[in-house]
Amino acid sequence: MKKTDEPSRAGTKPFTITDVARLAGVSAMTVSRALNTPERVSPEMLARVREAVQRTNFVPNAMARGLRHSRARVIAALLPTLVGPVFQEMVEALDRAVHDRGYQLMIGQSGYDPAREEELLRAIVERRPDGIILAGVLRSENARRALRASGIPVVETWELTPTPVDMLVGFSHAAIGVAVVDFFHKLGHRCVGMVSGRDQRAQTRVDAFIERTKQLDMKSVPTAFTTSPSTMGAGRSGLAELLARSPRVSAVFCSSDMLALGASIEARERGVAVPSKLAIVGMGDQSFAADAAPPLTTVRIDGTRIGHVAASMLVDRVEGRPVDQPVVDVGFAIVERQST
Amino acid sequence: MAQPRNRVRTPARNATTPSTADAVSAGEGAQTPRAGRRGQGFTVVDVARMAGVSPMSVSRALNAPEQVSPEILAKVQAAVERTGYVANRAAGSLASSRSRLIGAVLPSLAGSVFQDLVQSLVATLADADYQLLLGQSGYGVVKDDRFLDALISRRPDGIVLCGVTPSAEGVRRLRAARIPVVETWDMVVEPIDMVVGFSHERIAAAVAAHLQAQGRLAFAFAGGDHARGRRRGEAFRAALQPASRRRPPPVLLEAVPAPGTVLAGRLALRRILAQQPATDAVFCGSDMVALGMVTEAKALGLKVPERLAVIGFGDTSLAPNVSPALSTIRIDAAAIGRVAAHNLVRRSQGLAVEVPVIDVGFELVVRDTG
Repeated sequence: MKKTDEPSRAGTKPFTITDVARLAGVSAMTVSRALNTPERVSPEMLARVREAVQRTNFVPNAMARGLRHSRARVIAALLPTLVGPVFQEMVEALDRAVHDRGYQLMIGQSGYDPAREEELLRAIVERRPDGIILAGVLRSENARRALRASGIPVVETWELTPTPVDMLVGFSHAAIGVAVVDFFHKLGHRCVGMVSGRDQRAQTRVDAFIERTKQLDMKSVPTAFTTSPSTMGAGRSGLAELLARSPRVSAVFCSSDMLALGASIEARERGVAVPSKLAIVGMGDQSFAADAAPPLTTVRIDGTRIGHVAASMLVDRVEGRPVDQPVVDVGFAIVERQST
Repeated sequence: MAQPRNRVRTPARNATTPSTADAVSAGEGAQTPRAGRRGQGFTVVDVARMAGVSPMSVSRALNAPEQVSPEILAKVQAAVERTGYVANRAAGSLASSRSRLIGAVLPSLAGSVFQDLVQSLVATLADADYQLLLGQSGYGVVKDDRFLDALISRRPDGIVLCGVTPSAEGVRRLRAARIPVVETWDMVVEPIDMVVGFSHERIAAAVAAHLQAQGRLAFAFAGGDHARGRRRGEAFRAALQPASRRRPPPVLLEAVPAPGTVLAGRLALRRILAQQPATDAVFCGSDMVALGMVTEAKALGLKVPERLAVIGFGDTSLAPNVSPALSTIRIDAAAIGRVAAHNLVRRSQGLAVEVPVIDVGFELVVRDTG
């Protein structure tokens, strides 16, 4: 396009609907109608408006439209972290699902810090998104109150609680801790341990894991807690710590696949054969779990399903359709491969 | 499993009766007054009614507390406390024509090299009281600009492009909307506006020189199957110096589906060796692909780095921890995110950005794979 074809506007202000109207020689109301309900304007008007829109490269302001209809078509997601594979599948699915329905995803990152989470939620509520999705359940009473008062539909995810703020799509971390101990027990292991992150959900799994070992009369080595739940280095040092506490440990449950991969590498470096001398179970079933050497046994969480279900619940609620099942347990599965 | 709970009891939006207020302040078991019908939270009008003052007084009490009497302030604060009301800044942003939103377009968040960049972008923006709108475009030149239009229509105060090239049409719309733009990752030749990135050509030259200094003779490049990946491969080929008698060394360019995975790396090494059995050095588009190559080499009984050198890209957290530890290219993605956020915030506040095009450089980290 030649430069002269592009109408210029004095200063640095963007084109508004008024400019488009002036250029098309029609009223601003006609432009608005042509953009929102084209069937209500004459073909002639429509052609003039379209030409002006094209020449100015005008994109209508959804935020202004959003205010009028109280809908900006923005869904906010608040996550502890964007790095590492844990929430990736869910975010990816969420983003695609809301986009397909004409919504935009706003991302906030709390860094596993409750104070930060509260502050961020406030900033998000101030922007009046149509819906809010949280990775995890909200514990701060202040934040819960602010969310309820805002009237914004909310989906909490990634765990279960008897008292959701609104809707919930998750799975039971306590049930995972129990299931992994039972799995180890069935394979004949009697001295087991965990390498685990330290957030609330991880702690729930650790507690359930230890409790179950007691019930089954197994020995459980004190958990090696890591500060970075998804790095390979933390998995290596975590296993080293467990082995230092008790060389008899024969099965380890790691709170992420990255930790499990690190533990598997550390075992190999020390000449501890996996799985004959040491069984390793990860969590998440990330893409690399099946391709690792040896392929990792892991607890599969269907993050894609969580993202899809959460998005469709939220959009249904936003658009005034009933949500039949506001609480969904997506469950989990132990995927057996060669590390056990 | 948790049982579905009934929707919270909803006092009317104009809940002004003392009994509701008492119930709310009664502590533990009390219900927060819930805003009324779907999508309609408490508004400034509700708060005003509850406080027995005008909406203007509420607005003043929230925005300029020194302009109202202590008495009114106390009434408003009590009503805000009772309802949990949070001011609506979407309304304010229209008046001030600032949304305090920054849009980011990237190919994909999952398993991608852009995670650290986005993480630091979000953190830096949050500190300046900006929020991030995300748009995932898929890999390559964006064929349709739906993602861009969706962002532009929300009137962000700035847009960050991460390894994404919009169409010419998209660029025109960005310019027309007068939204400041930072392109990141690549040092683009014709920037739309601002740039924070690094040079793939310089990286290719550094890796080529490093491998040739080791006496490597047959090369392969395993990069993403997108324009950026191909450009990087071509740069690698161009950077390899002809051996004696001016014969250029053999270079195989192998496309790996993005985002790179361990499996993709394993399969790519098999294809490379089938086509060019003498290959003794591979430069990969990501650390994940490099890890796949090392894993496959081990499975095939090829010694790394003696028989095969493998260089990754990204210096992700796995690189120093795998065995053998990966030699790779370190990009300070967090710095890119920080600088991009900083420049956009300055621009959106009407301040000048002194250096609009910034090359953050890179580092070749030599570990145990070549």
